[in-house]
Amino acid sequence: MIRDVTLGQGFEDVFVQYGAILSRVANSYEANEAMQQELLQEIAIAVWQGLSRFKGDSSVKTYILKIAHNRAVTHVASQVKRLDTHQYDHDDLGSDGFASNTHSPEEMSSQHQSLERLLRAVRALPLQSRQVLTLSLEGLSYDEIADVCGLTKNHVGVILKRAKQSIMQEQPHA
Amino acid sequence: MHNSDKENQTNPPVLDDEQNDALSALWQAQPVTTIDLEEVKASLSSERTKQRWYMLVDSLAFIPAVYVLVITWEEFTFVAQAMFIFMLITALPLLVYQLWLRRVAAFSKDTQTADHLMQLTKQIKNNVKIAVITKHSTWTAVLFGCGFLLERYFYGELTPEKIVKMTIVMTSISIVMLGWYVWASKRQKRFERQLETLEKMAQQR
Repeated sequence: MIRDVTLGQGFEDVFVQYGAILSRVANSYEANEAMQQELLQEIAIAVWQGLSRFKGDSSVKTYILKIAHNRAVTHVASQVKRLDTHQYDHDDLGSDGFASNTHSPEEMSSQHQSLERLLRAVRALPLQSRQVLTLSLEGLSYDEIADVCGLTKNHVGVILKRAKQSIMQEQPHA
Repeated sequence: MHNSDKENQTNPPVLDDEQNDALSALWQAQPVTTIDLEEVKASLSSERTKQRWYMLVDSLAFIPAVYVLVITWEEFTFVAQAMFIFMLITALPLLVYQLWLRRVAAFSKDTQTADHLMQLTKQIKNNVKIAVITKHSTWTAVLFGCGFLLERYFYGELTPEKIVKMTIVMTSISIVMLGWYVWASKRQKRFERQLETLEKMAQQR
């Protein structure tokens, strides 16, 4: 895969494999659906550009997450002229796309509510805590999170613990 | 995939109890949007073309001033020549910086977020400075025009017809510069708000 990506091939495979992660990065910064789409498009363009310079110094996943978070930070800064989109209620979750469709309607409704609470709590976190937590939820190791954010491994642990406590207050049943 | 993807599995898990596994599962169960790759490719191509056009227009903006200078150099007095040269010399670094900014903006970086935030903050601080310079260069340009007009009046051979023409030109330039002043002022305020947002983000770190 690295050789393919560095040769300028296999970009589409990367998007097939990591498209959902990129979409979740956009969701963690923007609550409004239209803004999520806009940010996701910006992220996808940035990642596509970035892949041509990928040297294989880290995993593809870490590499594209760095680019995605950087693009999201730039996006948030450039949106100050608009309404604070973080304040929009995200009331259209769950219409489709949940990973599991084997749950009962009650379970789905409960999952929907839990997810809404989670997303709201994640978006309310300070930037650094939000990044550390969401990268951790995507399965990145302490080392990889430290590499993406520019932190020490110990600092990642401390921030993650605090972020987790904050999130758990909003997710009593998680 | 890459080796470090496998290595991740051997590293100590970040969240290691059932509650955190549930949280991770919930996070990954959220609805996601499919990326339209054809749209990404089209946007990328259009963005590249747009940036090249902007760079060309930025560079071409210099040509009229250089043209006037070359064509009429012999007709100008030393004072007028010095004024033109000074204007070009002060505008050149701004053009180079503008072209550099466009180039930087066209490429996405895989730097760490801390570095990205620092670079972005620095860039926006520079944008504020450029907006301030642009804003004040508008009335400076009008002043320069008036100075040039006076220079021609006292040292040139101006006919009444030429005076009328130059007055019309100066009035038009002043109106354009007024609009430019308002535009630059709005940009300055926008960049200052962006800077405030970024500094808040940095403080949270």
